[in-house]
Amino acid sequence: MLILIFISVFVENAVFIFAMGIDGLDKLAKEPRRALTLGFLLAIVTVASDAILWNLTYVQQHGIGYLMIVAAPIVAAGVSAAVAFIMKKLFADTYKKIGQYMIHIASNSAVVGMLCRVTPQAESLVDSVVRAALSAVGVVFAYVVFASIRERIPESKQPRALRGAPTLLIAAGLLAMVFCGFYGMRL
Amino acid sequence: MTLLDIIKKELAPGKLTATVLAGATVAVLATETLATALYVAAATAFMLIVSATVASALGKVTGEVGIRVVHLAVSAFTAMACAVIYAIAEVDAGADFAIIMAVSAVSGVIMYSCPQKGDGVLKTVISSAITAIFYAVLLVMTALIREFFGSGAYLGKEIMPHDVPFLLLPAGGLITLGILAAFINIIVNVIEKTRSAIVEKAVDKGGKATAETETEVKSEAEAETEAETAADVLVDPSADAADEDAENNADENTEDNGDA
Repeated sequence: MLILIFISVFVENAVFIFAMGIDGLDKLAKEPRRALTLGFLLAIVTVASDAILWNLTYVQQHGIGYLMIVAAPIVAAGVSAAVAFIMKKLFADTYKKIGQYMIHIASNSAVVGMLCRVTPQAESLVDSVVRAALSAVGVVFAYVVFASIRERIPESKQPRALRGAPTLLIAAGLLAMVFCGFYGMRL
Repeated sequence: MTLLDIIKKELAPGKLTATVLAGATVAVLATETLATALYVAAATAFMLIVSATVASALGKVTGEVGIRVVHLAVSAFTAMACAVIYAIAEVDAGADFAIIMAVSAVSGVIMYSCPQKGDGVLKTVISSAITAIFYAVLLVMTALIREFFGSGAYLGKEIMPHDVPFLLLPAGGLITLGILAAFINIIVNVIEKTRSAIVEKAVDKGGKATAETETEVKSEAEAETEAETAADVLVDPSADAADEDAENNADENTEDNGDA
């Protein structure tokens, strides 16, 4: 299990190796604590969507492959809305703090990308859910690490042209270079 | 709102780099080759314009939340339509084209272009078309750099003996996008400086102008200077933090509106 977690976090990281969910780095990875909480919600949405979509994948094997392009975003958005609703009812205080970010989880390209990549390859429902959960762990790790780096960016002086988006993209690129070192590693 | 106002709003300095960041995922995934970038640029433009137009047209019936739902659904269906059309036309757009299309359907470029309730259809079409053109240019530029320097090829034909394979990795794509975003910032800064220089010249010649015109021009020049000073102050870390807070508040307000 540890090896599987290591692979999904470092060797096949969805954000820095497969380039999914980079747009989420802007909104979801602002500070480490919040990134961890939002990442947890993102993992819940991913796993629940995956469980629903696996049944569609069964249909897909019978020749409706492109259905996944429509199904993945819509199912992810629906599950995200359901999670937001439940959170609002059960954890109202938490919802007040982070409920506004649910829209960014619903439209997160990491969720949709992982669903499209992982679900069709799975052999059973359990296999599919475990793969999705592990991929989500990788995304959470990436967001938390990036948020820790991002916290320090305002402390440093930057050239005027690099302020804002360029700094974030270059920082993400350098971090992706680090993860490239693990790519292809066999355990 | 005139056409010029819409163009100014869409091409505002902050908005351009925000578009680069919002579309970074697709930009990295789709720009390994120029051919894929062109196909994805065309598909994204189609998705952007169709989804925004339909959402805007149905906005009076559906309400604020309904607009977002319709927008997402239409962008997902148009993404599938593009993938099916390319498959029927036997276009070789890369192995992961279906995944890129699924990710495009929820990419920030499309999601942040969702019209507000009450936005006119024509205004929505124009603003989404401007965003689509800018994003297409960005994709093509990134793909040109990555394919030319990364594999030493142009449209699949080898033209350079040396290559830098690092550029074909996601890390290379992100750094290329970051550098392009920095260039956009530089160009915008140069334009702003030129504008303020023109305004200063106008102020110098103010003696000949009427008092009323002079006051107008001066106030414009003062606003420019204030903006420049504010931008310079941002180098200070504490000012940066304040800016970040302000940005957070703005984000939260926007998201509150969206949730509502």
